[in-house]
Amino acid sequence: MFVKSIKQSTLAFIFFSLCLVILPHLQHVASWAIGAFIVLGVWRIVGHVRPAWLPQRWLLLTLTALLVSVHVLQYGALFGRDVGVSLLIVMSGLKLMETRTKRDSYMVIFLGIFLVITNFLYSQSIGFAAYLLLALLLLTACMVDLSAQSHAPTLRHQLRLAATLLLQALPLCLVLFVLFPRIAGPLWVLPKDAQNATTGLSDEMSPGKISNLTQNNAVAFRVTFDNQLPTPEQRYWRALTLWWYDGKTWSQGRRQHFPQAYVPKRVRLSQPISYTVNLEPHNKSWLLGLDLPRLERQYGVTLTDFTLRRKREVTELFQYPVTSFLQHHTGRLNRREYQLATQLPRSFSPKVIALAQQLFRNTTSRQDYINKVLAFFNQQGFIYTLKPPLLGDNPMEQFLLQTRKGFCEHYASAFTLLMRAVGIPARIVTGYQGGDYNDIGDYMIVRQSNAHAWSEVWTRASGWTRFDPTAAVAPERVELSIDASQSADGSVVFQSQQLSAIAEAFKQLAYSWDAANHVWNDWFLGYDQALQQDFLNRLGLNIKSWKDLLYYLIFIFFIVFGVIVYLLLRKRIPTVSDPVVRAYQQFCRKMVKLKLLKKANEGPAEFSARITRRYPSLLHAVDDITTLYIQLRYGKPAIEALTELKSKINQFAPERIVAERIGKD
Amino acid sequence: MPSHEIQLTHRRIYIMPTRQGAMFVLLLALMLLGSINYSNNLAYLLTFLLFCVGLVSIIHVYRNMHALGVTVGKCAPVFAGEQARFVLSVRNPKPFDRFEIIFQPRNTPTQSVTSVPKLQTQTVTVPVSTRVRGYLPMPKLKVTSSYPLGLFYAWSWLELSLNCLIYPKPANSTQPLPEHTAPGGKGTAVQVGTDDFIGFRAAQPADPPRHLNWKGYAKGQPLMAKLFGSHMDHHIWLDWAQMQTAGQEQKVALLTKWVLDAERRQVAYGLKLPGTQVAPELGPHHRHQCLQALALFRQG
Repeated sequence: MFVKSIKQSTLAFIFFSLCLVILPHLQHVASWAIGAFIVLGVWRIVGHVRPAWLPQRWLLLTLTALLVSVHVLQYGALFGRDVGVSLLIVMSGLKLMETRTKRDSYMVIFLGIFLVITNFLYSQSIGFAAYLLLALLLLTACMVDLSAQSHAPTLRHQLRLAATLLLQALPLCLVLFVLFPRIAGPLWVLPKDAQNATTGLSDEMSPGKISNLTQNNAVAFRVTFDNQLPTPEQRYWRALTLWWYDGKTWSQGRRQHFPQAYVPKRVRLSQPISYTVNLEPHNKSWLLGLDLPRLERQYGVTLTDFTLRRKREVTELFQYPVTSFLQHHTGRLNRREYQLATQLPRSFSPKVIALAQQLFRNTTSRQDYINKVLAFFNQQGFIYTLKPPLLGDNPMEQFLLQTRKGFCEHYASAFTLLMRAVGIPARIVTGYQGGDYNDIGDYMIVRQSNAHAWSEVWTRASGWTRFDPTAAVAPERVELSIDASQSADGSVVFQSQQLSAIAEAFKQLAYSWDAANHVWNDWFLGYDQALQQDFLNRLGLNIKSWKDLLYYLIFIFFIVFGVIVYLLLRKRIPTVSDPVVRAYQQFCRKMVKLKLLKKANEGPAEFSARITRRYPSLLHAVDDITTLYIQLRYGKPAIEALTELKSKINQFAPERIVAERIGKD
Repeated sequence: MPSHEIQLTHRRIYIMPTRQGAMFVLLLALMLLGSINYSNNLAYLLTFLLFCVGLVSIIHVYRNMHALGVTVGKCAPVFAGEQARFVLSVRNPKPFDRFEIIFQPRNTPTQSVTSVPKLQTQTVTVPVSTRVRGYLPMPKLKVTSSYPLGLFYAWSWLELSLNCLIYPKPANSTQPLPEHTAPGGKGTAVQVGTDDFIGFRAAQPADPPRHLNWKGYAKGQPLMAKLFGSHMDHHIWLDWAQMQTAGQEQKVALLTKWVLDAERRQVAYGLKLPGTQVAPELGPHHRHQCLQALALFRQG
């Protein structure tokens, strides 16, 4: 039996609020799931006035079974982040359709709240958080609406009440947030789901892979330096070293070729620079560091090739301090490393080898040869472009001898291979180069468009030494960042240093916003056990164990709760809205201190006379105030007179005047 | 101890979570587990915020009920089987509005809802179904409210002293009114509309103008209508002792019907019950008196 205990407008409100919550999920949930939700919702709302149109129980069950099976078909399983969210959305629609009583409606609202929280699994940026707070406000207003079925408050009233409740809850919520113990690590294993294909540096390199990233302006990581900033030539951010070349692609090679987690003995490092990296999640396990970095063990491992690794993939914002050494000698190569570093694929192009040998002739040292190769790039008409011609089966041969147009991956690859062709150990390093300094937040921003590949060659003088062949072709690349928006036709355009006033203002705005994001990431999203400990110690609370923390939490929570209870439940005298009367009431309150209470049936003039009879010294002041009051109250209102009255009453100190007078007598 | 006026204080008000409230707590627990597992600070924030909103709503629920004053009003008499409508007045002495205050008599599913604006009084009607005649004391009332969020509800029991007089249910019979009895013997039935003047009664809108006592009205008396009928005795007696119906309640029911009939036919009637007697008259006050006597009649 269908009971109309809920208004149609309430249902529509709930549906609308849920739509707002579900909207952000469009990017990662199948649109048919959202479509199903909308259809079910609208159907139910329309059916509220035409119950005959609503589906019977069997139809509803069939729909449920149908939708669940489509999920299984599409996702393969029912566990996982995306599937779970999609199921939740569809279930909200079904529950909405099924709503008969108030309790059902509450269930839908609770499903909506759960959907709000699932949004945070995907993004936690500031804008997003504000949007979801708004959605929460609406859901709270829905609850108000549900419990107010008989007197039909206006939407404005409901929203105001919801906002009031949220604001009153806020101080308590902050206490909980600051003091609630943060337990590190997951309680159970996270369900494996298809991770979003986050664009970013890959663990392989081949022509085109890095140039694809130049269009991407997303922040890869932010760096806060402890002391001075590195110069642009020093801003090489190391991610991976790639040793294995199969003819087209550079990769890390097979398992046994992977570098080990130790730093060899005869390494000499100097000129340290320390900083903290705030890395955006990229679903990989490598970390970034300036050439050459060293990481503390609690944050991850430093491998023999001076790349940094974490045990698990970085799936959420990760902050870690690093010390890098700008001057280094990485020690000797062992036999295995030497073999790997001079490996060439079996069917390597003989023409390239010939070229290498040609360049190698008449050189006196390795450094000499390197310079010759760089000069070759510089003088033989090589072009630095984002859209080089596609290369076929022998890409390096084509590139070096024919097209001579490429991006950093081509140059790095070609250079490394030319080294290996004459037996000089060399490897590819991928990572990022450059970074924009955000003076507003005092940190450096490195974006995906800064992705870069360069080479490292082993020399006796300094061990593994960096060489960036791109610098030979396009030296601006080292100094400037690529302007992603202008590189449409392939030619590389660098960000101009001279900006118009508007562009400059825009840039400052963008920096401010990014700085806000940075603080948000650092302090709020990154609030873990360590940060909590640090923060509370700074406040003066000495926390030794989580028991201490709990005691503080409960204690402070109850205090704040008590304050709120008091504020809400205290007796309030009904305030008079007329400011003139309010001011006069203040005057009367002051007279109470002298034991003179104004009677209810006594006019202000009478009262004034009575005061003056009792305390003649108050004649002047009281007469002044009373006259002004009568004039304002019963005559023409004038704002200046009101201000005068208020200030006179504020300054009126009857006890002092009486005391002075008594003193004089 | 029933009283005429009760004010809701903290001693009388109890607060408990509703069923939605219990589900809400479950939801929060799940959310907290999720936040801990994913170490997601925004999820923590949301969970804490909702938890605190729930807590704050407890204060609001309490505040919505606290210091309300309930005073008894009137209750108009009804016939058994009809709904007695107890009227109460609810006073809000505080400078903020109260909403969705629900009154529910014990053991009844019906609810009366009211909202009382700040510093004002509102009346609320509590319907109670009736069965038997006599005085019906207002049942214990549950005053409850779950405003504003519906996650918690506050309740209080009120025992107010307000009685409703329940007239007996008139019999479903076509038995005609008894003949009128002249002092000392049986007489003929009264017929209305014949020629002799038998008295006055209060004027009614349907009266033809020539039946109205204009002379008296000109003298300043209230407007009366002249009654005409047979010149014999112009009243009837509804006598318990003379009735042939068996059973006490049936007699009462029949007498009730007769009272209503006689009143409708505008025949002055008197009521004779063992122990009570009401002199023949007409009019709403007389009707009430007879019906009251019948309602409260107890033999033996």
